[in-house]
Amino acid sequence: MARKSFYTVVEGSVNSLAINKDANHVVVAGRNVLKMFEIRDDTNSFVEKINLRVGKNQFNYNTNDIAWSHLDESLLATAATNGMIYIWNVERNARGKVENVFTDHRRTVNKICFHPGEGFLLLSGSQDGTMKLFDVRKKEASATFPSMSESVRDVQFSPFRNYNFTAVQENGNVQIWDLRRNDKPEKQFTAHNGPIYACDWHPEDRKWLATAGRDNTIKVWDISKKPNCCYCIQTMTSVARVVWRPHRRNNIASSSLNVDFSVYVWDIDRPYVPFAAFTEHPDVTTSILWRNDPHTLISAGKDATLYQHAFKDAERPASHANNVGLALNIHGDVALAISDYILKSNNNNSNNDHSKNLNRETTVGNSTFFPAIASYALNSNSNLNFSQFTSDKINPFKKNTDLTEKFKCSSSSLKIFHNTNMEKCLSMEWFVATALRYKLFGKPFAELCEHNAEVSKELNRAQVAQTWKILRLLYSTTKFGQNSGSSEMRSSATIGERPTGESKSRHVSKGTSGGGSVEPRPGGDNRVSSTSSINSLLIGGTRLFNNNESNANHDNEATISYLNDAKQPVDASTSAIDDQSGFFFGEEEIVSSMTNFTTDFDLTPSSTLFDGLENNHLFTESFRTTINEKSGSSDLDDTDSLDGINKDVHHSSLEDSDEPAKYLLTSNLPPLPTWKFNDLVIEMLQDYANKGDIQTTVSMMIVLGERLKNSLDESVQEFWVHSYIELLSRFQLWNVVNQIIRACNLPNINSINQTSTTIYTSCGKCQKGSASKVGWLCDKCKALPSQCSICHEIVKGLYIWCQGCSHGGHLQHITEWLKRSRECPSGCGHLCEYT
Amino acid sequence: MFATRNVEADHKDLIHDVAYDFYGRRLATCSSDQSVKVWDLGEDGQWHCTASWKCHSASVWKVTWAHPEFGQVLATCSFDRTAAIWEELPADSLSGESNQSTWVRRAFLSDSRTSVTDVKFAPRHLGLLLATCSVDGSLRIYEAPDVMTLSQWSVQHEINCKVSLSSITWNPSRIHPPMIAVGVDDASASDGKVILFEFSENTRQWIKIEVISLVSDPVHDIAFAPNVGRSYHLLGIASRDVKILSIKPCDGQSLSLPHQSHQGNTSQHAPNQKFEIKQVAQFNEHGAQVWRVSWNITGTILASSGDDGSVRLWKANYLDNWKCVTELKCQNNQSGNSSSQDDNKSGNSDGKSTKGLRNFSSLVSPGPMTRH
Repeated sequence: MARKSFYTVVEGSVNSLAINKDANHVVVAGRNVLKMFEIRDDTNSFVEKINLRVGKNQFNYNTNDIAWSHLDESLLATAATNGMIYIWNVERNARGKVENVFTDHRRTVNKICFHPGEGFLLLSGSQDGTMKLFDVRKKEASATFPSMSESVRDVQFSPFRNYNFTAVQENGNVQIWDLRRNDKPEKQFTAHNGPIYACDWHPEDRKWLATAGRDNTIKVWDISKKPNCCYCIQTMTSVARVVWRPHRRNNIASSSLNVDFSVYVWDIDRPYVPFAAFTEHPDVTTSILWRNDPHTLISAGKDATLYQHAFKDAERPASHANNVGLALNIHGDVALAISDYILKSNNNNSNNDHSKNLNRETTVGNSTFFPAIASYALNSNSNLNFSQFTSDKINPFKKNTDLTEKFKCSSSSLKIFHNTNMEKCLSMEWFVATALRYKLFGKPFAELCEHNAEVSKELNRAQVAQTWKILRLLYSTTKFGQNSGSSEMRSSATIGERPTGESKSRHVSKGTSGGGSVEPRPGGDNRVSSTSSINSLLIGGTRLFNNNESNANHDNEATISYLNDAKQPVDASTSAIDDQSGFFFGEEEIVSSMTNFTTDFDLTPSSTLFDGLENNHLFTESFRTTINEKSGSSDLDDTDSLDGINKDVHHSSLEDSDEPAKYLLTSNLPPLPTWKFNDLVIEMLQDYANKGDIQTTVSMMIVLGERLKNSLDESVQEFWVHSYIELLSRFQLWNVVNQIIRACNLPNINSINQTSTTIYTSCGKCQKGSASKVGWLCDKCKALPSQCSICHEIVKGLYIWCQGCSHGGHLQHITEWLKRSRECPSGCGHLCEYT
Repeated sequence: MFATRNVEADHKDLIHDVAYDFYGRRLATCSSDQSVKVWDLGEDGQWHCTASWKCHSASVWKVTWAHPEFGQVLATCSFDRTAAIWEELPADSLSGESNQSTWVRRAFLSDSRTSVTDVKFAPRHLGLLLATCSVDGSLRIYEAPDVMTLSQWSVQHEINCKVSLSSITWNPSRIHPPMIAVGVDDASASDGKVILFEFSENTRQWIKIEVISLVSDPVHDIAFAPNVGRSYHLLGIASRDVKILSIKPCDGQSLSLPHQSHQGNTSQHAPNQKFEIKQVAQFNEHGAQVWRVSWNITGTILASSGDDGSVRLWKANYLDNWKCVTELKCQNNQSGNSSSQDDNKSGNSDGKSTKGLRNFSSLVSPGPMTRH
């Protein structure tokens, strides 16, 4: 019969509970309450039968404990904090049902219990340090057992040898007494570190005694020979009560003295995790007992409630417990801690089919044991679609055994899946390699792009490599149409030639192609990048032209064809670039697109050459002189103009090559009607970031530098850089971090390197602080302070020193020294520690 | 390929959590046997237990590392209703021969009245903050006002969610307002099982901004992906299945990219909603309760593990379709370290791991220095 959980509220806080032999009545006792309830299983309620606290207030003191004789159902005993023991006869018809009062104890009586065999014998344990045996029919105690300690907290008769009882004391001792000898205990041993609050004999195993105390432990003792602690359960709080669970050899229930209001049922085989928990009480549970049945527990507490708990409603802390731990580290290693139970059950999967039926039969008797689990499993039966689910997880009967088994199987395996290089998806080697090998500054833009593309390619990251190339194309070429130094050169050239005729246009277009060519050519001579194009032109305008005569012709045609329909919108070339999937621009395409750009640019302001030049003139203030010269030269005849152009090119490129960066910075062009791909590029960067490749994003952002100015929010840039730095620092790539910080043009990032960089220095010889001073010599001892202890040179650069004796020197020297000796190289005798 | 290595953990009960440190060279495990163990990766590529101590009086549910900037610091939480902060004593205070380190308890956070189910340090840019959640639904944010004093923690915020909480995760993004997601494992609650909180600078309060109804099964674990510059957040959820949600701030308040702002205008949602939350993936392949999820450092791969005893790795392809890329099976009866010495992680074996940044002393300097 499955009993239900229910509760009732009583008048006051309850200190103790007792149940009759048939387990259908319960009495509660407390400071203001003393009542008998009938437990009604039909209505699932407690029904009040007798209130023993009637009439004049016969006792002013708290009832500490109550006992119910199992031989005479009418006989009750209560113990009070003032030391009085009352014997009640509940069948008395008079108003007062007190039959007898013992006043032998001078202090609080902590515990009383009836003798299991002799119905009139009552044993008490008191704060005065004695135990007394009463015959309830007599007027005073028939025997006194001196505990030799301050107080006795619990007494209990052995269920097997009726003349034995145990007493536990506040000094941590357990005594086993023989009723027939009251001079000294039969056995005595120290069980706990601090007061023992409770003890309980095992109902079936005669050698086991459980004790519990303030040291937060429940201990199970084998007392058959020399007392030996065979199990120890570590709980969270002081344990006030322990009761073995009937018919479950390894289970014991406990309640706590304070703080923790729950009742726990422990399995002594698994001493760390409660098998079940009843958490209903909102205040301290003072008393617990089993209703002669492993599935029903009755408890009462200071919250003035009386509960019957059905075991099936108990919480199972272990089932909430996470039995899998999983972590990934930065190298892609996977650490997995997993319950052996899971491993076992999965290993058994294969031969599960026939064993399932066996399980069903053997465990069917148990099914009421965990109805909650069963119902859960049934609920999930609706999802029979998952094949694995059905095979072994859902089967309710299997599940039943699983839970107990699972509870018993309380060990985990720790496995680490080391990520060897084969597993590309988790490996971050590419990240480290890329971080170390990328070049982000110090070279012309196109070279950086080229280098980084190469790096990416070598690391098998084709897409990133392509992106670098595209970036190079985009920004190298458009610099001509859009930007500064080189742009003016080519635009002016185009302008100069267009009206004058074919021959000139050919040369100029050659110039264009030479200057703007981006793809490496087999010829090699023209293998120039945008910013260095100036330099290549510098080599000699005519030489360049002559060398590539054949090429020039070729380009020329393309150029002209584009020039002819120069009015045609840029879309064609735009789309060519836009369609990044192509990833590759043919030579003609580039040239043509560039030409297109420039032509378009030239033609839009006005149709005449001069206006165009004028516009140009106005636009590019910084290049005024060049343009002026150019405009002059374009008025000359063919050959002269060619020379003029060459000269101009020469001239301007000389200027440019001196300080290309200056041009980049100072160019102050108004927005030109070119194709705006900045947004697209930014979108691309964001896309890389969203895909988790912040490295590419930040690297490109830094390489692009000013080119993205005004089109990308600074906070976003900071965000990206911070993310990248965080990632790098996890790989301890501090040097790369520093490079990034330096290369960034964001004030907030640059300031990272300035935080916490105040360094206090002092002379290594005389210890005088030299913080305020800038210079080499120490004020006091006039010595050179920063000498290397090994080579005695002044160290400029990386200085490593021991914080203990402040000697040190060149990093390399010290490292070598330390290989040989641990002592300070200066001879000061200090055993140096270099962190 | 992975080389599987069994580590003899020697915990006396279930291990509930494992955690790698920031650099991936230390590992902490915690168990129901009330202890925590710290493992260091040795020069030989093996994991050595360098510390083991009893840290609670009940099951220890979670263990987590603080950012190394704050020292070698662990936080644990337990069924005994407390959380604790632990710090490793510097190694030089001991003689070096024993190879064991000592951890001391710096703080004991005993505000909860029920089991504390998760504890997580905030991302570093927020300072030394700690969030805990408990079975009674309390979410607490602790702060150590002085990062050098690990013993002083004060409850900065306390929120009661009224449902049993199982897990907690901080949004690691530094550009967005601080955000916390908590997982609910209360089967009885009918609401969504993931709750999002955001810190409002104006009111100085954590505000519940969303109860995600996409997740209706009890949640066992929850993890924000590392935000490496993403404009949105990814949230991995372990429940009856694995779910990945994307949480996109949709008012463009913080990330004002040009293309984003006009996207934000086109997508229609309630005006008071700050986030566009959608499920980007869901996997039933485990066929059992999924207990844990964990992201790789770039937030591109999610690992999940559950009652079926396998680890699955999920990755998005270029179309944002998440697929299982690897399944790691555990064979219980393994023949020891079958592939022990074949790890060629040569790049990382340079010397001892940097234990904290506090004593980092080779600097570019013009002269000898001693710290005052």
